[in-house]
Amino acid sequence: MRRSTLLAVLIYGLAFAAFTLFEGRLLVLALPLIIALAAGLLYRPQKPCLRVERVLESDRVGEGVPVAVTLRVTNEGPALEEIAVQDAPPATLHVNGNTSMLMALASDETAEITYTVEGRRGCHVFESVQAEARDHFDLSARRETLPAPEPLALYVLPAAPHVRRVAIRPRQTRVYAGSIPTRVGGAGIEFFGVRLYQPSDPPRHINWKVSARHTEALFTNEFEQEHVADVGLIVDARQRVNAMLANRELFEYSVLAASALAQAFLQEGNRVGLLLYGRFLDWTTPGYGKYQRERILRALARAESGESQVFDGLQYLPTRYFPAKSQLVLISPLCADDPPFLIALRSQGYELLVISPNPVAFERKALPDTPEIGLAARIAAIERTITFRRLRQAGVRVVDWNVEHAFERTLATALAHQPPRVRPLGIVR
Amino acid sequence: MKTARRLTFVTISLGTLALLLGYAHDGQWPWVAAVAGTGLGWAASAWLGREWPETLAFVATVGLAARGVVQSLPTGWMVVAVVAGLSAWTLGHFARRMASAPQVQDADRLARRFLLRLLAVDALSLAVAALALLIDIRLTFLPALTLGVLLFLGLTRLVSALRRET
Repeated sequence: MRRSTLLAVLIYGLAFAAFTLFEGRLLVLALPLIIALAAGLLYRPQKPCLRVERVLESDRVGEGVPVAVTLRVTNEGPALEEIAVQDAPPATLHVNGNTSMLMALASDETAEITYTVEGRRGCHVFESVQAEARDHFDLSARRETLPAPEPLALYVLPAAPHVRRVAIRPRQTRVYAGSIPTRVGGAGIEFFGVRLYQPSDPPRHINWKVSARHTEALFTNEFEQEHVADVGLIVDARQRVNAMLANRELFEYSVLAASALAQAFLQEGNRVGLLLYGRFLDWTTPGYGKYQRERILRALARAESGESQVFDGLQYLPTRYFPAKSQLVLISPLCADDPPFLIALRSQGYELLVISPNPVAFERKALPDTPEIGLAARIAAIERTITFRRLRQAGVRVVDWNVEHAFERTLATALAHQPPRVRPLGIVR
Repeated sequence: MKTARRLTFVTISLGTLALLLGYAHDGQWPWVAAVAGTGLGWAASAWLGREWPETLAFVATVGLAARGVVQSLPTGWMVVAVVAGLSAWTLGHFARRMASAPQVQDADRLARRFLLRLLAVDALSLAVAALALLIDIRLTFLPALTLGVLLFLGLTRLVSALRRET
């Protein structure tokens, strides 16, 4: 029962008793209660007219990094004698400090609520702010939901390990100078071939041994041009391939790998795009540099695994998003029915690199060590090996990543050398 | 905050004492015991910070005061008991609200304003009640009924206005 109702009931009771018992002095007892109730009405709060401003120390942080949140509340209306303001940080964040405050706010007065939040990878959206104004006797109250002030979201970016270099060799590159061999002679570092000397060629590149065998002409060395390339990162967010344990998901490792690779490719000057393939297609258009790095990291921060009947298999991978003969990097645990679609991609001329977080080893660690489980793990591992063999035969480079090991080390071991030049259908030249 | 809490106990004691004096004046010892029990129970629930036993004790205090008036005990003590009881009930609620809020900005200013308001309401209540006790108007049935209906309607409007705010 509200306090005002209780007072009213007592007053009614006293008045009723006074009239029925013909005892006017009972009305005297009701007077203090009536005055208190009247004070409640007189000082009842007006509709709170508040301007709320939320300031985040940073709207993008790494995992586990605390961020200070300051909520500034300014009273733009009449004075409020008692107001409780409650901020609503996302439930996915761990909050340190108080998110609410009880205060008296004079007109144009400002109060601040400061607390810190930290959380795991994700895009954490802040909700609206609740305000409740009361009179001092708590006989009446006004509740107000204030719209969520900017900024609305805190991006907790995936903690990506530093990957030094990923050797790729797409069949087509872009025109700008970079670090990927292009199979075209010109200025570069790696020896490519020998051609007739042309005026303006630097004399230090003259191949004297070949020129000595041909007395009528000079020959000069040619080097392989190195350009930047288009790289399409595809993160497999299908729930059915991403094993999930009680407190962690294999998909988290895919995200980690994607962020590390995106940063490595962008650092080399390549044009990188990102496709999240799961519940829906989340496409980050290709671009260069730090701005693109930020876009990709934010897309990865938002990424979640999910189910979709349409995107159940990889047959709907939208190849029109990626330039012809470019480099594709698929980050996926893979399942047995995926290879045909990947081989089809290879046949279309794409260079394909598959980074496969190992779901068998991931799940095996969490299961009891029984002979049945050991046998099942062996069978699953053999199936994976067969899948990888099929892919490798088609010219797909596959990195099997046991997530218990560091990603950068696994990658450094598997991709330390330039890949061989292979025909689209996987026949080694 | 501490002041509000201390004042809660002071007003509980004052209200209980006023009732005790009233009932002891007439030698109604079983009721004196009931009053003392109510006071002690109220103090205990205020100490423990329980909301509903305090409300129950406040209602009991008003009921005991009303009974005292009907039994022709000194009305002045009964009015003091109701005013003190109302203050204790309001103070206890305020202290509890302050204690349960995770963060209070300028709690001293808030408490000072609250106490000033309460003091004003108490002073006005005692003054109006004293004035009412001095005035003796004899009403016939019809004016009394009219006043009663007006009181009922006025209170209904007051309460509905307060509830609408919420």
